Amino acid sequence: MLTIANKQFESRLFTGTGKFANRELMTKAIATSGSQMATMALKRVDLNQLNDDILAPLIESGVHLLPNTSGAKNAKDAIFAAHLAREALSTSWLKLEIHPDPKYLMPDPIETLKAAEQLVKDGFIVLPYCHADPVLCKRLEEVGCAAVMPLGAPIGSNKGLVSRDFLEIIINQARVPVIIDAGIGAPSHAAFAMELGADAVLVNTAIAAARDPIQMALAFKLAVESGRMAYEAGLATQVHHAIASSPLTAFLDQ
Amino acid sequence: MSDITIKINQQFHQVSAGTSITDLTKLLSIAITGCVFALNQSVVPRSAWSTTLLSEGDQISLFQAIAGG
Repeated sequence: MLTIANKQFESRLFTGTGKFANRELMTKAIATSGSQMATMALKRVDLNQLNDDILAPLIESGVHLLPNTSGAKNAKDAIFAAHLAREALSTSWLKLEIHPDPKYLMPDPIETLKAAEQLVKDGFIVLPYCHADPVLCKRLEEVGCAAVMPLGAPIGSNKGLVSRDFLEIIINQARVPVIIDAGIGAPSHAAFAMELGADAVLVNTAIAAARDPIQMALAFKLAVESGRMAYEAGLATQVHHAIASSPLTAFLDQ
Repeated sequence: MSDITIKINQQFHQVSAGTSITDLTKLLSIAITGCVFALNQSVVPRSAWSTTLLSEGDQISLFQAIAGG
C-alpha cells in the first residue's frame, strides 16, 4: 500500500481530469482506472460563461482531490493559487507546478523550490511537479515535500520516460514517494515506470485523449498493477550475452 | 441604501452598500461548490463570506475549480 503524508492509497495510478470530451466520460474513466486521487485546476470565472460543474461527480465518486497551481509563473503566483485552492476545495493537498514557458511547460526549479519551502511552512501537503533532476528532488524532499513528481517527458507529449536514467537515480535516492508525472503516453510507459520502482504514476492526456478513454483507463490500471507486481517480484538481471534457459547437453551430437 | 461600484474579475458591477460575499454568490447565481473569492488580492476564507462586506472600489477575484492535469 502506498502512503503519502498521512493517507494510504491502494491504487498507484493517479489521474488528471483535463482534456476529457465531457464530464460523464471523465467520471467513468477515473472510476474504471481505480484511481483514488485526481488533479484539478483553478480558473478565474468568466461570469458570462459559467463552467460545467465537474466537482460534484468527483466528490460523489469519493476520489481524493489534488488541486494544482497550473498557470502560476513564479513562486508568488503559486503560493496565492495554493491558498485559493485550499479554500476552494477544502484540502491542504497541493500539486505545486510552476511553468513560465507555455511552449514546453518546463517546471521552473528555482521558483518551485522557493514556493515549496513556504507552502510546507503554511501547512500544505506539497507534491511538486519538477524536472527529473535528482539534486532538485532531494532539495524538495529536504524542505518537507510529501512526495516528488518528476517528469518523464514534457506535459502532454506522450513520449514516455525520456528522462529514464535520471528517474532511476531519483527513485534510488528518495525517502519520499516518487510519482512519475507527465509524458506517460501508453500503458507500457506506466508499467515501465513501475518496474523501475516508481511509487506511482500520474496520467491524464493518454487516457483523456484516447479514442476510448474508458478502455484506456482500464489498460493503464492493469499496466500499473502489472509493473508494480514485477518490481516487487524482482526483475532478473540484464546481461550482454546469452545465458541458456535450457540445459546445453548437446545430446544430438553424442 | 446607496450603490457602490466594485470590480469582479475585471468587470465593473454595481451592488448595494453593505453587500457581503455571501450576498454576491446569490446575486451572481453561481454554484458555490469549488468557488473561492479573493478580495483585493487576499483570499477570503469561506467562514468569513457572510461577514465580509464590500466597499466602493473593491477588487474581487472569483475562481472556480475546473478540470486539469
